Amino acid sequence: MGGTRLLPILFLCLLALAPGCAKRVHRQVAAPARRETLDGKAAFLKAHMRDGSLYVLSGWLVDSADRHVRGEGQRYEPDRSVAARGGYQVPLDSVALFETNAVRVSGSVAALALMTGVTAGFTVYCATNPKACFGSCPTFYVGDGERELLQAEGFSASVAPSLEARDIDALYRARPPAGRHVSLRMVNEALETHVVRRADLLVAARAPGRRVLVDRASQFWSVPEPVAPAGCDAPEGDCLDAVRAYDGNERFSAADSSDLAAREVLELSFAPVAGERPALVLASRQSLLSTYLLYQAFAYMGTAVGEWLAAFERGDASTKRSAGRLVETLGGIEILTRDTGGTWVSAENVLETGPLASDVRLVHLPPTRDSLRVRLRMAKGAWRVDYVAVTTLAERVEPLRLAPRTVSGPAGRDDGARAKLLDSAQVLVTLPGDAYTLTYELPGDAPRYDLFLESQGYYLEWMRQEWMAEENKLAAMRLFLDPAGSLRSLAPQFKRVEPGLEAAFWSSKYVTP
Amino acid sequence: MSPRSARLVLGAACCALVAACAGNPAPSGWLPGPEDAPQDPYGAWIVVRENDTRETSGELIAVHEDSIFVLTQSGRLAGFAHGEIERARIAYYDAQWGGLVAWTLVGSLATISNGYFALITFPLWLLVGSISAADESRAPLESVSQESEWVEMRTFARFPQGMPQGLDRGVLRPRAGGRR
Repeated sequence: MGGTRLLPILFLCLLALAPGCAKRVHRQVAAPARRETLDGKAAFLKAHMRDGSLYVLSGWLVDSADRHVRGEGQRYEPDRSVAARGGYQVPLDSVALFETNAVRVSGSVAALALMTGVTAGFTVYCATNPKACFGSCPTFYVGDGERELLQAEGFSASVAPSLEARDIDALYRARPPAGRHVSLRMVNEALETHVVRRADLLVAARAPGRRVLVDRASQFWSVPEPVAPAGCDAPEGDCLDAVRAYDGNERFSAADSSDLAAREVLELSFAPVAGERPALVLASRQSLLSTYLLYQAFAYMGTAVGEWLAAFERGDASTKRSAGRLVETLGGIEILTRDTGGTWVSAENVLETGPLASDVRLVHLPPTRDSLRVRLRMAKGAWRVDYVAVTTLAERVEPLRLAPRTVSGPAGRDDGARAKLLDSAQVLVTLPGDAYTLTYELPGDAPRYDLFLESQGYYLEWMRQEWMAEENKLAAMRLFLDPAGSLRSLAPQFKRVEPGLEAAFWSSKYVTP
Repeated sequence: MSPRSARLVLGAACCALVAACAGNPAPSGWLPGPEDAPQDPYGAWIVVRENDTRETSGELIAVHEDSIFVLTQSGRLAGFAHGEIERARIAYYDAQWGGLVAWTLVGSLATISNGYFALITFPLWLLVGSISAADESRAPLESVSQESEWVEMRTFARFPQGMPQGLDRGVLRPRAGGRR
C-alpha cells in the first residue's frame, strides 16, 4: 500500500480507536450495614443474597427508611441461570453483600497523550542545549553518614523493553545509622518513564578488616581492605590524588577534538600484593559523552518510528549487533596488565553504563610476584575515574536478598507499590517527579553489612520536541553502520558543547511544577 | 512503502507490544470485558498451583478463612486448603489491551516516512504504548502467594459472601463458552 494512501486510513483508524478504549474496573463490596460506602455513581449494583442468588440492578436506590433496595434488572439463581427480569424491591435483611464495579478510563491512556512532543524547554539550560537535558534511569539515594548521597542508578543500559535487565550496584559509601533498617530513596528525576520490576537489597556480613565486593559475573567476594596505588601517570601528569580515595574527586579528561573514540592510558603502580588472586577495585562512571551520543541518536531518528523499534524489539540479531557496535567503538575501561614477557594484555573491559553514580567493581587480575602495574585504557573524555585500588580475593560469599519491608510514596505508605516490587509479574511505573522510599529490614545491625542494590527494569526516554528538528535518517544509519566515522564527524560538534555540559545536565533535573 | 515492508513493520511492532503484556490466564472469551464486568454474575477465573505443582483452573466460587472452592469447566467443584496452595493467579475481567496496542501501533505507523529499517529508535508512540498496554494487561490480574492475601480475594468469587449455607453444591454449573 502506498504511503500517500496509507496515511489517511491510518488517521481514520486513530479516530476510531480513540483513547477511551482502555478502561479499568474497580470493584468494591460492602455489607448492608456499610451501605453508605457504596459507590453511588456505579451503573449497576449487585446484591448477593444469603441463599446464593444474585440481583443485578440498574437505576438502583438503597432506601434505608423502609430497608429495601430498588432497581431494574435480573435475578440469577445460584447456578447463575436467569430466574427473572423486571423491577425489584429487595429487602436488605436478605442481602449478604453488595457489590459495585466502577468502570473508568485508564490513566495509561493519558500517558500516551502526555508523551507526544514534550518540550524540554522548561528550564533555560535545556532550552539552550536539549542534548544536555538531565536524563537517567531510576536514581537511588542512601545516606553516607552525613547526608543523602546518590549512590546508584538502576539498569542504565535498559532503554527499551527488550533490554530489561538486572543490575547490581555496590552501595560502597552507604553508612546507614545503627539499627536494622536501611532506607533508599528511588527517584525519577528526568523526562522518562521508569518501569521497575524489582529493587532488592543484597547484604553481606563484613568480616573485620574486610569488605565485600562484586565482580562482573555477579559473584561476591570477601576481600581485605583495598590498598591505594603508589603512583598514577596520565597524559596530563600525576593523577594519584584523584584516584587514591573514593571521595568524589575524579580523574577525567576532555574528549579528543577530532575523534571521540581516540584512546588514552592511565598507568598505575602498586606495591606487591600478597595472595594468589589479586584483584583491582575500580570506581568509575561514564562522562556525559555517552549521554550526548544517545540523545544525538534520538535526534537523528526524529519522528521515524515503527521500523526502528520494531526491528530492535523483535530481536533481530544483525540489528542488535549493529546497535552494539557504537557502544563497542566508544568502549569501556580496558584493564591491562603485563604478562611474563612484558606484553600488556587485557584482563577485562569494564563497561558499566551510567553517568550519574560511580559503580564499584572487582576485576580479576592474573597472579604476579612482582610489584603490580596496571593500565586503564579508555576513550578520552568518556570516563570519570574516582578510585583505583588493589586487593586479593579471599573467599566467595553469598549475600542475603531482602525485598522492601515498606514502601512510601508522596502520600505516605504505599502497599500497592510494595506489592508490585515483590511480585515479579508486576512492575512499578514511575513518571517524572515520582519518588519512593524503600525501607529494608536487615538481620542485624546495618553498619556490619556491605550493601548492594539489585534493581531490574527498563526505562523510556521522552522524545523532546527540540530533538525532532535534527531528524536525519542518513546520519542515524551512519551512527550504527559506521560508528567510527560518526565519532570522528561528531567530535567538533561535541567539543563546542563539552565545557558547559556538566553544569547544564545537573541543573536540568526534573522538578515537579 | 511496499506491501511486504508494511507487513514486516506491522508484524514486528505487534510482536514488540504483545511481548510487553501479561497474558490473561482465562480461556479466550470466558471473561467479560470492562463494560460488561459490572453486570457479570460469575466469579473470576483462577489458576491454582498446589504445593506439589499440580494446577487446577476454573471459576473462583468462594473463599473461606481456611479454604477456597474452584469450579472447573468440567463441572467439578474442587476445594483447597490455603496451606495446600503455593500460588494462585486470578483474572476478573478481560482488559482487552489489544485495542490499546492497536491504537498505539496505528499512531506509530502514521509517522512512517519512507521505510528505512533495522536500526534503533525509541519512538514515542510505540514505547509509551508498550508501557500502557503492559500496564492495562495486568490491571485485571491478582495473585496470591501468602495465606494472608486470600481475604482480599473474596471480592472476586461468585459468592463473595462465602458458600451459601444449605446450598446444594451439585447445582453449580460452569459458565458456558470460552476457547483455550
